[in-house]
Amino acid sequence: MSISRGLRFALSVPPFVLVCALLFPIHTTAQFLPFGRNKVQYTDFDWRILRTEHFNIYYYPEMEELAGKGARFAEESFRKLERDFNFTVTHRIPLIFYSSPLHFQQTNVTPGFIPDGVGGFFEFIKGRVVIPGSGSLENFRHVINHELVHVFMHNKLEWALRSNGQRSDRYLPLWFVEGLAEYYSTDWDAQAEMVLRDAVLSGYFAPLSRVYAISGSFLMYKEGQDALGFIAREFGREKIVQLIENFWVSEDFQEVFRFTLGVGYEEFDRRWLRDLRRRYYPLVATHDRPGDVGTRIVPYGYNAKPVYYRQGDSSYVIFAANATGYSGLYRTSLNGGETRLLLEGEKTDRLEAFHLLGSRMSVNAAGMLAFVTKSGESDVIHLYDLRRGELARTLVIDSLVMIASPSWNPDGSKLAFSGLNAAGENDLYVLDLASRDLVRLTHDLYDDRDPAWSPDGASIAFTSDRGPGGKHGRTQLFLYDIEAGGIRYLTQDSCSYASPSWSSDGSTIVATTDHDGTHNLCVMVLDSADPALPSLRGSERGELPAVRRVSRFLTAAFDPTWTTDGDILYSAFDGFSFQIQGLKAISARLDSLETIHAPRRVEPTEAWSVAGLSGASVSARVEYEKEYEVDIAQSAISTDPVFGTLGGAALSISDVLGDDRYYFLLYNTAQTSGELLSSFNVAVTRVSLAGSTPFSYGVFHVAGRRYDLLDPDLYFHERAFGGFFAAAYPLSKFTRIEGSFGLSNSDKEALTELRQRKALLLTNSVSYVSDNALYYWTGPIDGSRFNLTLSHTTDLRYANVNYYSVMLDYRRYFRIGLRSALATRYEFLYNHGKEARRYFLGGSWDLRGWPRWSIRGTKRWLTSHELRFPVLDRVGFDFPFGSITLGVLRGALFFDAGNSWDERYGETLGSIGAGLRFSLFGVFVLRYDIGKRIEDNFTRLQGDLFQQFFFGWDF
Amino acid sequence: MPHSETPSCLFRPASVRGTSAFVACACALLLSSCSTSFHLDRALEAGSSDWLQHGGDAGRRHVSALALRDRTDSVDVTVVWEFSLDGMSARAAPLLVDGAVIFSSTTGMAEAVDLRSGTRIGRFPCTWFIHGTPAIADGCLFIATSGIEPLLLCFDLRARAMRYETRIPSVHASLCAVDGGVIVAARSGEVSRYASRDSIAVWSVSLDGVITAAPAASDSMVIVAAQNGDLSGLSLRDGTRCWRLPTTSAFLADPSVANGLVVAVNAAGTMVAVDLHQGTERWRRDFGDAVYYGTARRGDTIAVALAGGDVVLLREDDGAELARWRTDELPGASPLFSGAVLLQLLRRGELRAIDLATGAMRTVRRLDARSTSAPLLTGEGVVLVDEEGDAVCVRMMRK
Repeated sequence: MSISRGLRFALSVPPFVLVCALLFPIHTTAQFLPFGRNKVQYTDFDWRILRTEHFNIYYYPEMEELAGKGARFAEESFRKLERDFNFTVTHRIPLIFYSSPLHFQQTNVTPGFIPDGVGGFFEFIKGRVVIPGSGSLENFRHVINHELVHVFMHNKLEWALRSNGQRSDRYLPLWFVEGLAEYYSTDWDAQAEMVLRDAVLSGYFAPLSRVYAISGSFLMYKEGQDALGFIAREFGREKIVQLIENFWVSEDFQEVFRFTLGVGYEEFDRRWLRDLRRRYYPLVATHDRPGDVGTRIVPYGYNAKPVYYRQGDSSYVIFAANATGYSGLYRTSLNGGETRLLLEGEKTDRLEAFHLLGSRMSVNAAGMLAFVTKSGESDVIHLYDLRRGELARTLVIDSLVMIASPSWNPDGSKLAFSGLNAAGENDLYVLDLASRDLVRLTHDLYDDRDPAWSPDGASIAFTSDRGPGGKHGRTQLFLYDIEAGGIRYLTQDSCSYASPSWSSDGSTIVATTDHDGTHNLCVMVLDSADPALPSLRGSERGELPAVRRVSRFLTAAFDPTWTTDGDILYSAFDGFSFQIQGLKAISARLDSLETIHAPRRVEPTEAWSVAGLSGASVSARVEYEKEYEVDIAQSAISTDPVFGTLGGAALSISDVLGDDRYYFLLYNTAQTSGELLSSFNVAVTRVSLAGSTPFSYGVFHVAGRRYDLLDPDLYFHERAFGGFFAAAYPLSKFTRIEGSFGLSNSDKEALTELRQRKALLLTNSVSYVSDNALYYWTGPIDGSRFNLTLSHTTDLRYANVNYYSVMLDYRRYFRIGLRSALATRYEFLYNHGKEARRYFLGGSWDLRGWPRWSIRGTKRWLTSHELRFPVLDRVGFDFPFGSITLGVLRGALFFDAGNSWDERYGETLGSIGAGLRFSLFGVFVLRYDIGKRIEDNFTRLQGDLFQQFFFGWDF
Repeated sequence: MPHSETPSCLFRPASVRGTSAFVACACALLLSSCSTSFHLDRALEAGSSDWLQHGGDAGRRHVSALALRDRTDSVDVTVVWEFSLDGMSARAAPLLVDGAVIFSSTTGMAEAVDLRSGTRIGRFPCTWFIHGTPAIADGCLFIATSGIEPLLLCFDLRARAMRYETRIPSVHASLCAVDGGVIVAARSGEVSRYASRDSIAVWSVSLDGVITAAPAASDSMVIVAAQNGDLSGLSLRDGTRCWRLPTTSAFLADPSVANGLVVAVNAAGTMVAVDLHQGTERWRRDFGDAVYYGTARRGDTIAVALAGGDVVLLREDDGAELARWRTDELPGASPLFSGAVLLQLLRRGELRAIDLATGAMRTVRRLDARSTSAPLLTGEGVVLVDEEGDAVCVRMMRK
């Protein structure tokens, strides 16, 4: 077992930023202290490579069997895509497998955080495909297919452009890219049907001419998939690939579309919408909108996984939701009353993330709520005492990476749940809370989910793909017999069933089925406590219970649960949101419900399996050895009549897994030929993001003209060379300790006076950093950020430099509305000693109203208080041919106070005012402030108004 | 069957004429006879080796008069010459006329290369993109382009000068040389006939549907297959549509004509055999796999390459399957009959030879890049060109 539980991490900032920060740590007097969360690589992956005909598959030994199956899926997909695209990829495609989403989230192939729900990705620069297992082989196959469509699309597009003499510097529109990946990789399923029905019938469907309005959303994926299906039906399947082959025809994809199909977006939209209306409008006569027939319990937001809880005469529904930007648990009274936040996640290591759509919850008779969150390396089960309103216990299960849907046994002594191990197997487990004994109920390749313990404690109902059709993702309901250990069918159908939940008397199970195209509610009535259900294997025949329809919603319902009154609570998809709703008195009208299936006898079925790739299909299985490829290579040269010719180049390389990176920097700042040799700036840095403690080290030689923030500024020439080492240790996703050490020789020569300074500088620093802030368009609106840094710099040789630094920065954001917050900042920076570096103050980023960098000193304090609020949620242009969204406009009311000084404190300065922030395309913030300075040691307001215009994010 | 005139001495460079030519040829013969190795493609049987249009003739039969007679695997492949289209990409198949190989790049340049030495002996700039294979008829090289201002260009090969150019709609299909001129099938569905004497179309008709498959011709009929699933028979004389056979899927592969029978296979893998003059369907066969490239026809057999990698040999009379060989690779061009073997280019740039008698398969050459340019058999060896524009002539020698 190569997986250690030691903490490993990678900074969440892009690697080049990290390098820039680490290149020059010699003077640790940074003006701005870094924050940021940690992308923690907890697991020590022992990588291997499986070489097949078309792939280099990277995997670790724990998931060898899954990797073999993935290799088979990939080769099968490759053959299919060759035919679909009439194209082939001639290099081996790097395919990086992880056995679970939580392992996948630790990848360094991409520097960013990977949220829940991301099924995999294709990285364009090196053509790497990164995919996690999820426990479902069909889902694994689908994601492999999906990402390989991207690979083929990317390569074919490049071919189409290059072979027509064009640069491959543009790309297909996102709706086409993701729509095609779905169209070629999976069938139209219940989820797709749900979102498209809802979009068409709720009026937010975006045709191609307005598809920008849903760019990047799941709806866009599915609309794209349906649009391509319509193209295949109406214009010919070959037209889909021709849209890629003809991409060279015009830089405007709408022209390519018209050239290939013979119609523009507008005409296509007209025909497509007509087709959709013909499909969906008739459903209005036979189906219900969930909100029209169900009781709306929580009618807004994004709510899921309801669980019923009764305390005395009061009834409650507990559910998971993301109402504020952080996911959390909420409670609503069914007797009337407001919704209350119980626990908020994504701020602490203990409740790092709720899997909103992935895990159900359960409450026992004592009012103990069992639920799952990610906590550090893996998932844990929390027990929350609803009566006391506090977290009572957290259960860590070392052998499992992910956990879902805990379910109490009747006496509250055991929990059944599904668990995903490092091999990528998703099976059922039972944990005895007293003894901590863990029993694995199932142990196979099938995807077992949603266990629900029967009220008599004799069996567990669950969802699994182990039945017929499971190889293609179809799931059925089963009963696990606790005593005998056998598995029996509850359903065996050509559609899928999921999410079983027992009535309190154990006579009825409510579940969902996509029998009608989308997931709707159904019930199964068990005739006796020990029904003669058909066994999963062997020759024993039996009778399946009748299935009766509870709902016929236009969209869908998920995760039903019974109340003690015989009502059903569920999460309904309606109007592009998930709402908690209820249907009254279902148990009282079971006999009147429409029958989907009458009771029927079925034969046991053969088990399905997927063989891994083996034999001649596998070229080799080898240990992973790092091979480096270029990430970025860039050079620039400029010529100026005054400053001469300046030039330089930067290069970064990394291994396939992105764990090991090298950065090379070379540039020259010589202004005369005599300075050429002495003005070379060279830096080489290695950053290792794998291992228990990520680190970086490097050497550098820098020379050039600089200036110090003296009064007036002192210009000098400095030549420095040396090396450094830096490392960090994450305590969680939100906190870390950093340290660095540097040694450099520094020669400075003032340009305006006869002054020279030589030094051999030794610098040490240590920092504690925490950050759980929630970002909005122009800056944080919730959470807090903290940085405390201590450092010391001394000259070992000449004693020309010797100073220490204490830096403290604390920011807290108080949420006062969904999009409004009060932001506060407290900062104290202190340098003391010989040649202590100076800080500056003034300008749009700190002490507003005062000229930028005008207040200087080796000490500085600052406090800011700012009310942030929305002004315009969208600023853009609508043209007849399309729309452009420029960004979002927000407002601020602020108060600043602070000062910067050397030996004598001087006076306290301040400012008050208001400002506007414009987030341009979500990546760049323009700032405008107007107000009055507080002058004369906080005794007088400025006579006129100051105005400042700058850029940058809110603090 | 109508055929195009084979021009003689079209590409003989002035410096290699007369005595010089005699000396050069004598030296070449002397050098080749001094070789101790047996040149397999010396054994290519004599006959007209010129290859004037895609598929070799107007019927798109893909049958080479040159035959590989050696069936042993114990051969080495040596490179006779290499040629680069200067970084340009090639999709069109190379042609051969009077000892000169004509390559066409997608980016608008046709180049003539000496078959023996691989040196450039002529260039034919075209400005816009060349997607379909040009054709040679009546001593002229016809090139159709696509782009903003697509043209049909007619170059006089003897004079090495342009005879005319004329605006036409964009053409993606290979040209069909027939009766001293060419049939041009534009992407827009316009089908026209041009002669070498002037730029005025002899006739022009508009059909429904996008056309990217090369038209075929035989016995006073022109066959056009369109992406709307229509297979049409036009009169060669005036373009009148004599018959139309609709099918349910697009034709991406070129139709072929031989023995009075049209064979076409659509993207869904449905092959139809149609009487050339009547347009009546003789038989139909469904492969259940996409087909992107046209059939090869020799005698009473038909060869077709399925997208899934199977190469299937059928009986012409009834479409019965005679043999099936698995390449497990996406094809890159139509099969090519060559003596006792069937040559099959794979999309990844590999040329395979399938022994028709035994089904044994061997790799003739693997290119550095993908290819969709059909191989050209010549007396000097097999000429291949990949999508990067790198061409090679290879000769097989016994070990």
